[in-house]
Amino acid sequence: MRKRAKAILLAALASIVSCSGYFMATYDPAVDGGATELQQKIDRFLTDLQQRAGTPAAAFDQHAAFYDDVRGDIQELRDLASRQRGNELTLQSLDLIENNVDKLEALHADGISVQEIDVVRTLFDTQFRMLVQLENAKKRKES
Amino acid sequence: MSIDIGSLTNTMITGVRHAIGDRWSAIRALAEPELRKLAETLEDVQQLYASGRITADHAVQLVEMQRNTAISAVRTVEGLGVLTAREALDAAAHAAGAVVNRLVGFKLISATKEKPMAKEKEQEVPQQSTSKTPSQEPAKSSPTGRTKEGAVRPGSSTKSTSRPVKVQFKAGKDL
Repeated sequence: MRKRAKAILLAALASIVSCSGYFMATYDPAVDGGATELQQKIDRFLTDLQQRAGTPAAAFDQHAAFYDDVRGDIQELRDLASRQRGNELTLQSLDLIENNVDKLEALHADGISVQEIDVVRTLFDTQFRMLVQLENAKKRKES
Repeated sequence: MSIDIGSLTNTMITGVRHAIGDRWSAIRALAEPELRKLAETLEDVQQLYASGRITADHAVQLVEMQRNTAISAVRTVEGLGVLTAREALDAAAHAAGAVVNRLVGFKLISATKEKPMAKEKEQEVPQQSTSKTPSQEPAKSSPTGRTKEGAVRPGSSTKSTSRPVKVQFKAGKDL
């Protein structure tokens, strides 16, 4: 009888723990695909900026709309991710990307060099790769 | 009917070991090169500043971007850890399930792998099952299929339109 009580306790404990704070949102292909597309969009922009370096075509006011556009894309991804519980890490990652977009905008407005763009590209590349890794891990768990 | 707690514990541990496998080392293998790469970018910024190619203000901005990126990497590692821990718990419950269910005489622990929770919105509004809101349908080219009209989006900043352009480009090295 005592062992039976222990077994029930053990099982209940495992069930409670497994349903509690370890909950993670399900894989959403829209977030994964959207993040990949946004990474490519920013990468294309940085490439374009590097190629036009030192010309009026690279001036900030020629590209000011791009930053609002990207922020809108991030907001869309946030909306998608926030539909599920357990997506806090994805939302935080998107916020960090948006914060870096703001900083890139400030650097561009002040005059950004080709070398700085190289650094910025590496940072965005890492941020998006990390986000996609997390989304893909959710996918692997479900499969 | 009695249960051998020691045996059950071993069954659960075996289940957990099988579920995790070399996952922890895989997470470590992901985190280390990323953090090393970020350290290299920090060195690049330091060199750019030391050689006078960027101002102190730009160096600060770049280091803050680097910091945000490092936090992103940590968040991902944290997420992978949570997923692995969750998988281990599921494996433990799964391993104990058959034994315990037989003992208690009813299905106290689900022996099958737990299905992830469905999206709340989708449950409420079945027609949104494609993960796109109605406002996103006339999408043109955005990653998530949103509209391109000039409406202000929630959370979207408009500061760039009002930002005073201090320096548009600098001759030589800058844009």
